[in-house]
Amino acid sequence: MANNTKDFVVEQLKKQIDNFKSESEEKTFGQVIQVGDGIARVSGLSSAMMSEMLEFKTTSGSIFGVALNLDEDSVGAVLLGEIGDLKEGDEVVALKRILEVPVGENVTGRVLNPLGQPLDGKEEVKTKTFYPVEKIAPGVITRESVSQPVQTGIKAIDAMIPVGRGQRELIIGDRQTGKTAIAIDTIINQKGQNMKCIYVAIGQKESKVAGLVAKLEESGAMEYTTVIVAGASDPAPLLYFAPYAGTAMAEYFLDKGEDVLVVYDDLSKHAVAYREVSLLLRRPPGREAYPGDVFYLHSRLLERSCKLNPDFGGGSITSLPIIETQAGDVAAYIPTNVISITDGQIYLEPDLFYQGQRPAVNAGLSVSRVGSSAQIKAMKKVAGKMRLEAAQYRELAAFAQFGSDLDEDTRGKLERGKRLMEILKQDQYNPMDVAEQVSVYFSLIKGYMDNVPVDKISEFEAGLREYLVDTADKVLDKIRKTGQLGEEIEKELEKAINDYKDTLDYLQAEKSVE
Amino acid sequence: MKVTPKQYAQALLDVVAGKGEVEVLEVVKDFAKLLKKNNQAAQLEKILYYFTRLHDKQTGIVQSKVITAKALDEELMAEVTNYLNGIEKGEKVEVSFNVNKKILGGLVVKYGDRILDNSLKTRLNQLKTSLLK
Repeated sequence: MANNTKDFVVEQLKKQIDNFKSESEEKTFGQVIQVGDGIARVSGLSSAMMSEMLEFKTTSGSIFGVALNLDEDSVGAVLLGEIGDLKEGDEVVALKRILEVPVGENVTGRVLNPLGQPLDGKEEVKTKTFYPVEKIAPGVITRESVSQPVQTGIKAIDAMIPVGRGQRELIIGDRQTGKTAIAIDTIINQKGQNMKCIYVAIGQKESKVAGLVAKLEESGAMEYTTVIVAGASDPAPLLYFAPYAGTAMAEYFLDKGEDVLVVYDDLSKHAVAYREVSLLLRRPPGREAYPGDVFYLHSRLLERSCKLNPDFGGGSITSLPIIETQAGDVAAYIPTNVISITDGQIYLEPDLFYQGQRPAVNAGLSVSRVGSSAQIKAMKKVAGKMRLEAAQYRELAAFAQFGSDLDEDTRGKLERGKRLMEILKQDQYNPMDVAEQVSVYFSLIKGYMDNVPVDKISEFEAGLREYLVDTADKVLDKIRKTGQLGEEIEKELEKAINDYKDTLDYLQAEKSVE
Repeated sequence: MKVTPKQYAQALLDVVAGKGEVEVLEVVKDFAKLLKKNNQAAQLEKILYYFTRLHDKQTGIVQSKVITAKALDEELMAEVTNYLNGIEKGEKVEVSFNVNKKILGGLVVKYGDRILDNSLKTRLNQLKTSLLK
C-alpha cells in the first residue's frame, strides 16, 4: 500500500510537470536613466502601456513599478516598494500586464497591502483571479437607482441621512470628530446584513489601523471584512493605488451580484499622495499644487460605486469616502471636489463633539441626495416627522435663548427637541438594530418621552430597548420582516411602551411639562 | 540656453554626415573643443549613447545581444545571427555574444529594445510559480 501511494505521488508530480508548458514571450526592455524619490525614468520600453507593470532587475532581486508617464523616448515610472539598490543602467522589463490585484473569496478576513500581499502574518492570498486596478465604471444601461438601505446602525444617520446600497456618502469633518468611528460602526453593523466590507486605510498611522483591526476582530466583523493598508510610512505610489485596489476587490463581489461596502479613509491623504507622485513625475501643478487631474482622480474612483440592475447581477458597491478638513474649511479644493462627486455628505462638527453630542453629526448641513427611497417604510414613517421636529427645534433653540416667556406650543416643541437631541446621542461601537431604532423614534414622536426628564432619556431608551427585546420581540420581528409600521403594530408597540413606563419611577408629573 | 546631450548628438551626426575620414577627424576635434568651452565634457557619455542610437536609427542598424551560459560554437553562432537577420527586412543586425553562467542554460536574446528570455533559470522560476498555485 505504501508503495502504491509513493508511486501515485511520483506519477502526479510527473503529470504536473509534463503539463507545464514554458512559454517564452517576447518582451520589451529598457534601462534606468534616473532614480530617486520613488520615481524612475527608463529609456527604451518602446511598446510600454499606460499603468503597465515593470520589473526592475537589481543585483539583489526584482523591484516592481508602474509606468505612469509615456514620453517620446523615455518612460516615467513609480516604484512600488523600497528603492533598494536600484541604480542607473539597471535593466527594466515590461511585463505586458496592467497593474492588477488578486481578488476572490480568499481576501475576506485579511489585512493586505494595496498589491494584495499579506500584512497580517498569514499565508499569501491564494487565488487565480486577478482584477485590474483601474477599470472603467459601469455604464448607464447596467445601472439602477438606489432602493435598498444600508443599515449603519447609527441613529442619527439611519433616520435623518439615510444611505442606500450603491450610494456614495461622504463623511467630512475636522480631525478628531469621529469620522472613522462612524465608518467602523457601520462595518460592525453589517453582520448578517448580506454585505461584504472593505476598509481602505490611506496614510493612516499603523497603530490606529492595528487598533481598528483588533476592534473589528473582537466584534466578529472580520468574517466579512477586508482591510487594505497603505500606511503613513509606505511610499506615495502605494497610497495612490490603495483605493483603486480596494475597489477592484469590491468589483469581484459586485460581479457575483453581491453587495459591498467600501470605506476610503481618507481621500485627503490620497490626494496629497497623488500630488507627491505627480510633482515628482514633473506634471504641471495647479491650484494648491495639485495636478490638473485631481478631480478625475476621485471622480473615476467614486463612479465605480454603483447599483446594478437585476439583468446585470443586481450587485452594488456602496462607498463611504472620508475627507478631513482643516479648521472646518469645507470650501477648500479637495473637499469641494469630493462633495460635488458624492451623493451627499455627513458633516461632523467639532463644537457638537465637545458639547457631548456624539456622533457629532450636524443635521442641518448633512444631506443624502438619495433621500428616503433608501429607508424601510417603517423608518420613513417616523423619520419624516423627526426631521421636521429637529428643524423646528434648531430654529427655536437660537431664538429661545433671549427670553423665558414663551407660549405653550413653543415650549412643547423645545422640550421635544431637547429629548430628540438626547436620543441622537450614541456610544461608539454600539450600533443599533433598525426595528429598535424605529420603536425609539416612535415613542418620541408620539410624545411618550415628553414626561421623561431630559437627563434620564438615555437611561429610558436603554431600558426601553431591553424591555422590548425581552417582552415584545414579536413586534420587533414584525417590523424587521415586513418593514412596515401598520396600525396593528403601532398599537402593540404603544401598549409595550406604556407597560414599560409603568415600571419606571422617575417620570415627571404630566402637568410639569406645561 | 542649455544644450541637451541629445541635441549635441544630433548636431554631431548632421555635421559628420557624408564626410571623409580626414574631415571627420577635424570635426571631432572641434566638437571636443566646443564641449570643453561649454563645460559639458562630463556629458560625453550621454552624448555618445545618443549618438550611437541616432546613428543606428539613421543607418538601420539594430544592436543585438545574445547571452548564453556557455560560449557557443561557430555553427550555432552563425545560426543565431542568421535568425536575427531574418526578423525584420532592411535592418542590419550587429550581434554580440556574451556568456553569463547565472542563467544556467538556454539563451537570452536582446534585439533592439525587445527581449526573448528563454533561459533555464527563468523557466525553472515559471515552473515554481505554476506549481505553487
